[in-house]
Amino acid sequence: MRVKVMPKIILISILTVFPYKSQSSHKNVCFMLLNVKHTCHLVKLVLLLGKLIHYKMKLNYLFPHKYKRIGWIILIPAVLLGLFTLITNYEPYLLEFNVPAIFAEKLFGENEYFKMINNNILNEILGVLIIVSGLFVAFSKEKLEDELISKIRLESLVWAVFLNYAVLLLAIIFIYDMPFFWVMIFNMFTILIFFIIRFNWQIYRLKNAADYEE
Amino acid sequence: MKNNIKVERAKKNITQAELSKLAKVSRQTINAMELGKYVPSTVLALRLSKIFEVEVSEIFMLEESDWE
Repeated sequence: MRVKVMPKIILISILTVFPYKSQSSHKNVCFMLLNVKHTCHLVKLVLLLGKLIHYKMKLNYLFPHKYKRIGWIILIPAVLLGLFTLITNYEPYLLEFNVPAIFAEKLFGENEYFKMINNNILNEILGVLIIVSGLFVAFSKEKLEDELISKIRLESLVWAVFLNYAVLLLAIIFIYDMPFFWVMIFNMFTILIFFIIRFNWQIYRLKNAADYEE
Repeated sequence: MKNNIKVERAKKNITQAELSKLAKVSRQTINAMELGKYVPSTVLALRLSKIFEVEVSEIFMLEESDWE
């Protein structure tokens, strides 16, 4: 398995990381086609990596149990800090950096591709932290990940997806302009949050019911 | 689906917790099965039949509603 996949992965990652330089980036159509090509390579890479991991680890797409605690420890402060920065628009000067951007558009300005731009990286850091730690909390194995837990996990995931899109549908229909932008920001994380709440609540109820017996 | 897990457990004189250890599932799963809230996989059903030393069909029984 390994022998077959590794060269492919290396080739595709090279194609993904190094964009073709020849076309001038002003021709938008050319650029977009190029982008599509890169995206295809990227998707291919991710799929191949997934396959590799799957074969190597007999994967069920879950992290080990200890990641759950790590996730909680990062998630709670990150969410609190995230809410705080959203509400107060807090951007410490310390975190102003020049960062490489694949795509950036200034408000009422020109589109910019593959350029260094100045940006406050606090919200980026918080976004990454919330998503990664949220994934840890949501998709770590329980202490005893048996078939009932798997069933509850699946049900909760379906439930969370439905709820998330129900909320989003309502928002699309009834909320406009800037408030909708806010909805989109929250919507990046709500699917994880809904899942975490529902899943843990179900587990809690199950434990309680079992303790009540006997 | 009905099941006799509680009865079989009483025959063997083991608690839910002990059975859960033997079957390598959580106690909540045993409890949910006894209450009829959860239908186990074939593997778990076969494990239980090994543990209780009876046929699977003696532990689990179909009901009318299972045909609908």
